[in-house]
Amino acid sequence: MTFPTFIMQVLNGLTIAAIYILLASGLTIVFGLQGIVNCAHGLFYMLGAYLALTLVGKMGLTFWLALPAAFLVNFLLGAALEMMGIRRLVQWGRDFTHNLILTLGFALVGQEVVKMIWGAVAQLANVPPSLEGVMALGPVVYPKYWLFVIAFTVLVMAGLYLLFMRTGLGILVRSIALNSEVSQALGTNAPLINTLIFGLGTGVAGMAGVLAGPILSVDPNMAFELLIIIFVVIIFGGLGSLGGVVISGIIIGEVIAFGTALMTGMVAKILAFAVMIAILIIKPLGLFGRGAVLE
Amino acid sequence: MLNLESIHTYYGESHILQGIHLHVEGGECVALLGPNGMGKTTTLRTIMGLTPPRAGRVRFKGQDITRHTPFQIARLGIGYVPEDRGLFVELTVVENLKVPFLNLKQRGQQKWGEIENRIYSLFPVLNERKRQMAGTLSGGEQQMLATARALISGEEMVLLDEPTEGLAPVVVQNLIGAFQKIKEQKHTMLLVEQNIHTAMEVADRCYILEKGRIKLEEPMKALSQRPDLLQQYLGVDMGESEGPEE
Repeated sequence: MTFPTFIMQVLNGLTIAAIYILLASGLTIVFGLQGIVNCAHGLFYMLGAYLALTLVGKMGLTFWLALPAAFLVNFLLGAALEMMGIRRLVQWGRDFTHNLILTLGFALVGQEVVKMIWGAVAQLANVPPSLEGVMALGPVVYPKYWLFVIAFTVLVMAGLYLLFMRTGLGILVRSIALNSEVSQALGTNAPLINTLIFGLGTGVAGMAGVLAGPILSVDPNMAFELLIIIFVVIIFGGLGSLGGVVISGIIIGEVIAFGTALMTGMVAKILAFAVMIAILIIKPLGLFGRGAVLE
Repeated sequence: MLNLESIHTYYGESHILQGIHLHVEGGECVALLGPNGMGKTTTLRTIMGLTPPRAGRVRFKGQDITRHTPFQIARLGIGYVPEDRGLFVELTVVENLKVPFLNLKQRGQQKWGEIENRIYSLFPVLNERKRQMAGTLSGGEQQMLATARALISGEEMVLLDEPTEGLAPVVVQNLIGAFQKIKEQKHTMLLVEQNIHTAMEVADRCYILEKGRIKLEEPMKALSQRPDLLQQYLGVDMGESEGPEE
């Protein structure tokens, strides 16, 4: 492999990682905060992608407005799911598997609704005009759009880091994750914050869908297809750990990129799972896992 | 200020509190005494809304708060120090203190700086450790932090669950000094204690809770002069020890 090709593969891995990290971050934050697994997370990703297809492709809206629109719609939808479904199950003291089933059901229904509205044929979204073409980075020539996806993800993760570690809301969120009961006894409106953070996660998933549209195809299977790898990423990184998601996302992204280049896509995925299994044998809680929030 | 009327609280089917009546007036320090496992912690949890009662009423300043959620109750100005301190071990001392501050209703009227000063004048060691993780503090320091948090959210009243449990005598004396200062500021307190000596040095009045019922209500001074009652209800032998200093 020549040096420029090597760099290109590294960048490919980072682009794949970017999508994984955006998706995984919302999922792992919600797990760390509430101890629930949102099986519908992929649905919000899919909805973002389809929304962008319509807004940009059919209605001529600019990509730059479609991105925040996808965030907003998925934020509201996710918040609604949390407030009307998940919060109730938690209040009634139900086992976490009930939330698993609720979100799974929501995802299955949502997937069918998407199929009804948009049809079942795969489509590829268009790269926004301002990001078409390639850019020269030393010995490498790389698509501008893919570099943008990487940069955008870095920005989002930096924003999340600042939110959780440098703001008052971040202190409250972390306090709920550490001891929700005591935090409430000190006045924290945990139910509201749980809803907001859940919406934040699904909103980011929606944006990931918009970004992924021109790279991966947009089809009704995208909700669940990616979810398996995303679960690998969050378990590998340690449930509830944002840093873990970044590192494990990058590792798995690179494994898949190089695996696909050197062998085949299928072998690459198997390799990714193999890496995960190997690390989990050494570190059963994942790279930065602290121990389950559940009993 | 605080009134519990005919409170019955269950854990599952276990009938823990069987018709509790108690009250705490503004500016008082009331101790809730009794052997372990008798419902003292459950009483505080019932007040805070963490373990709501099946029957009975909790009133705070005349308002019925029986079915309020814990954060609503906290925002009425009731602070809570849980039995295991409940510190956010992976947050720093300052971040722990910020949690109740960020939730204060009239946050605009109080500056963080003023609150910090208040807390550090009461517990200077917390100032020295302000950027340390709460989990790295010693037992006594952790108790101070837990108490400080409750003072910030509990502008009206503070509930303390066994604050001196498991601490060395020197540390306990230190804490008692702090409690006495809090009391001098007319801060209302409801103190659950197994350690009768701690209670004697701080409380005005006390209840003895046994097997889920209030068995006795006495001014603290009166009880300390009744070794027979102390022996009967608390298993305390006061033979040679003196009562609190006059």
